[in-house]
Amino acid sequence: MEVFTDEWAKTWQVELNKSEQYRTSATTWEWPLALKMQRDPSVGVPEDRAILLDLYHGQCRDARVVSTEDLSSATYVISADPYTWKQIFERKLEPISSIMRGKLALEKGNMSTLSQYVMAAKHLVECALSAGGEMPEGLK
Amino acid sequence: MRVTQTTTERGLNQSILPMRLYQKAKKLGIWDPRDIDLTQDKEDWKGLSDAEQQYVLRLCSMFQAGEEAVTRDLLPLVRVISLEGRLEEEMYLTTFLWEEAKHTEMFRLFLDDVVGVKRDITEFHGENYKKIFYEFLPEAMEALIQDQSPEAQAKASVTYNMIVEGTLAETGYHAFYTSLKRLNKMPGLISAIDYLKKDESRHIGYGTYLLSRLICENENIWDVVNSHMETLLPYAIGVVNEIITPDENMPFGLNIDEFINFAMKQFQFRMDTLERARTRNVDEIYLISEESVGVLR
Ligand SMILES: [Fe+2]
Ligand SMILES: [Fe+2]
Repeated sequence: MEVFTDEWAKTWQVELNKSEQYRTSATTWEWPLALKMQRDPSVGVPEDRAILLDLYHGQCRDARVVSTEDLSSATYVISADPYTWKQIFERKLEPISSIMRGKLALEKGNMSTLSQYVMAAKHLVECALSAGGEMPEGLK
Repeated sequence: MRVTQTTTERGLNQSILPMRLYQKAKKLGIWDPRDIDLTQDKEDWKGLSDAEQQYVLRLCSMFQAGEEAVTRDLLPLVRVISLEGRLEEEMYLTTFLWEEAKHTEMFRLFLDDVVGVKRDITEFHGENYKKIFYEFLPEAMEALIQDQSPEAQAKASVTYNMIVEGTLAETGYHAFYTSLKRLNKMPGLISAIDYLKKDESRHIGYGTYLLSRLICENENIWDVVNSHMETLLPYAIGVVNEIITPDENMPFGLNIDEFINFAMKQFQFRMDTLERARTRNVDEIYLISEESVGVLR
């Protein structure tokens, strides 16, 4: 199972809905969030890849791959290159610091609102890490 | 047996950053809170709306407790540096602690003379604030009494210099500037903040130097810095939100986004500076310039 695939998104959704910590830290969050891996043909990612998480009041109602055109339905879009995502998934980069330092770029959405959900963001990433997922071939 | 550094050929090393900061502190850190003229501030205070007064009082309550905390919590770090025989650094730290005492004095002076507040104003400390100032800060600093390892020092300095001073205090000054200074109100308090900010730039400069030295002397410290930063960040960002309390109507026409962006910029600058230390050697760190660590003139 590779990251940024439908299967991976669905596994992440299951993990999210199992997480008590996510649920309690995101009770008032109600905006769809998309994550994007920017294209980099040199590592086997010829196109941008994105998934959309329909997050609502501590639940993940849906998770799926979306085309880059469909990103407009997301209120929040967080984007990074494949290598940065790899470091996040391998716990070599800290997610909150990375957002603060702009390594994970908030392409769309309001940073002030997001800043009120730091704990939720932290648990969201924790769930992605428990979901597992392999990096594209060129990054292994 | 004791070796006295200053009677050996070592003397005092004037070129290293802590010694340069010490020289600066003797010139710039000697302002007296009691010399600050608060006459106009008393007039201006009466003219503020209730919401504006609340906002200023909340900021002052956070600063007052913050300055007291950093005054009380610095000592274990001074002792570690002393035990390591880093005399120049210890000399600088004597000015550091004294300055924090004056900052504590300054806010109480303002509260007594301008606000005239008699009641307990601890209620302004929110959950995140308490977590940082009542728990993380004293715990990280007191840990140095038992544990003087580079890891413990790094955690202490991340908490004290990077989060409390480098991110929260800096954002707090910004809060004063964007409210009172923009309106030309409370000139006494604002001039005190100008002094504080300069003092703090040396404190943060020292912390940046200390962490840079630890990072380049010990391979694992960059990871320690990052992971401790990550632990504290949710609460630190929480404090920034508590300063501006988004549920209220913001007084002084303040803008929440501006605050978050400001805090992020502070954080980015500090982390970028620290990350550069990974590729440097210790001698370069000793000679690091004041500008590169953000010390104000
Ligand atoms: Fe201070
Ligand atoms: Fe300070």
